[in-house]
Amino acid sequence: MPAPSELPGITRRTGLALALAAPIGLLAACSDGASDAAEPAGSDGSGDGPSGEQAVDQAVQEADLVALYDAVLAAFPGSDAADVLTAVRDQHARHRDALGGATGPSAATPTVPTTLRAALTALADTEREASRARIRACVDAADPEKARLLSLIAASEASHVPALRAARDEATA
Amino acid sequence: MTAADALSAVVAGEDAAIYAYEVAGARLSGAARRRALAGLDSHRAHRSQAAAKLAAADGTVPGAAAAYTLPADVSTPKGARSALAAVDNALVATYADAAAALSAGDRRWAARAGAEYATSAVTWGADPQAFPT
Repeated sequence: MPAPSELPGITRRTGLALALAAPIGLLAACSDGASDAAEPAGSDGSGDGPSGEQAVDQAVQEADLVALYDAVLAAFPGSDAADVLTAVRDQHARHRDALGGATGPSAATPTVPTTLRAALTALADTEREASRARIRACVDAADPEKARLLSLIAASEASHVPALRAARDEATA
Repeated sequence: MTAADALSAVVAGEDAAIYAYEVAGARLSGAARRRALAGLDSHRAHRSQAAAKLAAADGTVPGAAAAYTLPADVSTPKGARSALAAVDNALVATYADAAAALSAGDRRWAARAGAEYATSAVTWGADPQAFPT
């Protein structure tokens, strides 16, 4: 199997990260309409892969989120939202490590919107979708402890949404 | 932890949350009051669902206490928000235990409730956590 970086759109996370450049309406349509159909095999029940494979998949998705936050932090250095962005980024790093770690993100540096407000809105959408993906993986997990961990991560990611929206509402541009 | 033990803990945790929302919610006004009332509805619904699942699993549904010690002084709106954030965050771990002990649809129910209450805690002013407690 080729390395992930050689395959276009190998994970849903990659797609979401790249979709950060898309208008908000497009993002919303994407996450509301096609969330189940677009999920990679292994976390929607159709793949039925062993829980080890699923854990790797979830850890890579967390690594992608870390890379996404790093890209946003780099695009808006010293912004008022830097504290919340750094805190959330570090929580995804802890999620990644708790899920067994990942050698790195699956994709190249994600595209970031040109305004901080747009970036924060898109990140909130991405977190909501990440939480849903973690709940699906939780339901599919063979190991109860893995289900417990994924439930906590799903809750953490859902809780990022109001924090990002508050930061967006305070952002001037 | 058995499924019955996990569901019993959810019922007990929801009873504590319902008490906190009733007491602390009365200290809030405007949009915060409306949010507290919506949260109270959610906790009552989850308590009822957990009790039904527990009864279906032949478990004994625990009764609510007359009063609970609140996690913060609720005599001010700030304290009320802080108390509601704490009871919601505490439930996240309880629901994660339930997600581990339950399967399929019941596990989804537990995980969704945990996500709802972690979100609610941040809305009440708590900082997001990597592993909410």
